[in-house]
Amino acid sequence: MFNLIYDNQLLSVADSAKKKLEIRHSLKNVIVENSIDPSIRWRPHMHWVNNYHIFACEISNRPFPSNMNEIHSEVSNGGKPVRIFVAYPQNNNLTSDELHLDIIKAKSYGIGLICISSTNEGTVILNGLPVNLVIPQTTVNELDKYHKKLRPLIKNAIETYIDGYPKHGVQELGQLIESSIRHLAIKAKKLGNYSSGGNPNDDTYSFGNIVDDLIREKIIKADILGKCRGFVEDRNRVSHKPRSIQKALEQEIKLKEDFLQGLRILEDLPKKMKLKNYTFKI
Amino acid sequence: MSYKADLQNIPVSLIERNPENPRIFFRQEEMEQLYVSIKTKGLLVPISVYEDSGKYVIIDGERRWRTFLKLNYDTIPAIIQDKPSPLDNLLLMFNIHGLREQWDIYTIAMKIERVVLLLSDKLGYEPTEIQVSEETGMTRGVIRRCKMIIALPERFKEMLRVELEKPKKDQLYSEDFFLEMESSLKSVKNNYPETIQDIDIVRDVLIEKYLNKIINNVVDFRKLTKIATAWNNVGFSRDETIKLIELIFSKNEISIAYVYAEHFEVLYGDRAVNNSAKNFLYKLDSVFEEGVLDETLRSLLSEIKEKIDNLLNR
Repeated sequence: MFNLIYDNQLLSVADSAKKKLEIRHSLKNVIVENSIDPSIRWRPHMHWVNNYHIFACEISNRPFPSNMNEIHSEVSNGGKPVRIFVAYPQNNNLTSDELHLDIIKAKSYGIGLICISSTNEGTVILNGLPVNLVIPQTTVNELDKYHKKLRPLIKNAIETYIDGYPKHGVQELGQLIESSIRHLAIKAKKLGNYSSGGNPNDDTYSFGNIVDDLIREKIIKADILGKCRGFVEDRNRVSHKPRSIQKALEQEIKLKEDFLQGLRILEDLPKKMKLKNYTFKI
Repeated sequence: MSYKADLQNIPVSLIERNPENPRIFFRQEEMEQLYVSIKTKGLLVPISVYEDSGKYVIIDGERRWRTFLKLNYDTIPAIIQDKPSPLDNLLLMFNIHGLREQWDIYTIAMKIERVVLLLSDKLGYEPTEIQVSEETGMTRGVIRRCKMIIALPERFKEMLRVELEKPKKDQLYSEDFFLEMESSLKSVKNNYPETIQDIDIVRDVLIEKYLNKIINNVVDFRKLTKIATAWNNVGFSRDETIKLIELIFSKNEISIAYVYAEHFEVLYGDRAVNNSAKNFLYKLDSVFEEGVLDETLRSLLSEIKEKIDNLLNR
């Protein structure tokens, strides 16, 4: 079955990876060495199509094969909700440094990794992300631009996102934004900078109302507050299961935009607060 | 052999691999690199095929065809040739591939047997080494090395095949290891057959010593050949040689290099000086009948004379 494009040595890896992915993601009807889409210049070793994604698996001797950069760029430009996996043998002749570097690269590209042992047991090393959700590497490397109190929390949110839980990553950013805005309102209220509106200390007083109060009282610039409200409202919307691959694709693009928007807000928010002499607090 | 050739774009799906293709290893890493190369630079050389019952059979370019499949292209540029005879088909690939690329000896060896068979049918007698060499474009040295690989028991061929499927840098041992080992074992067998009761056991021991780095280098086997011919070459005791070879062929930490350095290196060193001295004397007699005129050479000869005097007077 698996012998046209690949060398025979990796057949047992392919078989084990197939079993692992089918169980883990409830996949069936594998398509072997065939096209995902006529416009995409890549035939994965095997792929499956379910209601939301195309799961494509490449078999290689290493976690980040030398052609993966090209494959990833090809799939990213293809406009399909594809999740790329690489299955590789545990006995792979890479040094620990080479292996580590490959895994880091795979993670930054959102590649899911499955390591196949000599007894043909598959272990998921990385969950991976659909290609449309992959965020630029610079996002991960530029933590210094955030307020120092935010850095470890943003790092966590990014880790959550790229570890295969993008919605949770977006939620973590949303919680940071909500918490900062609520603290800002409490401080402003305490300083007597606004007197109208509800009590921000009251957990039942909604985030939207707090933002409205802050805008009305001109506590900080309205544009950043508007973005905060928009972000939280969007976050609450992206939670329904898509009904088609096209809807899944749209949701993914939106989810990624939201995450990047959340990061931008958290970069700006402390600066805008500082302009009005408010100390940033989470 | 004559054939016409047309260049066309042909459907990738109508192409079949050639069962006679000697290439049996498609290393994953190399295929991945070819994917990048063709995707970024395009196909630089068309593949060669012949038409057979509505399909196209590859003569040259299986890796490129596989990469085109991988790249999800519908068509591939191909030179379409006339359908060759089975022998011409095989020889064509030898001449196209073997001369252009560094094939593994194992790869060639596995098909040389078939070349000999088909040539025998054509000629009516078994071809000579020279004929096989001329037809395949391989040197006689390569043919001899192939024969050595062919003669290996299946178990060792399989071990070699497994290694050759790996990327070069990851291979534990190569064809060179087996070729050097077999060549030295042939010398030992010719000179001291009593040291080899079961050659496969000896092979296993030597492989283990190589994997455990007791034998550090494949060329150490050339020292084993020198040990096996030391009685003839440097007059070393036969009985002693047998004991030493048996030590090398036993499971222990004793290496070929150690035995050679301890017992044979000086003798072979003396022999080398002896041979050089004889050549030197011959040159002196034949070249300088009218005496030495060149000043530099005179000075050098004086220096040699002084060194020899010192050595002889010690």
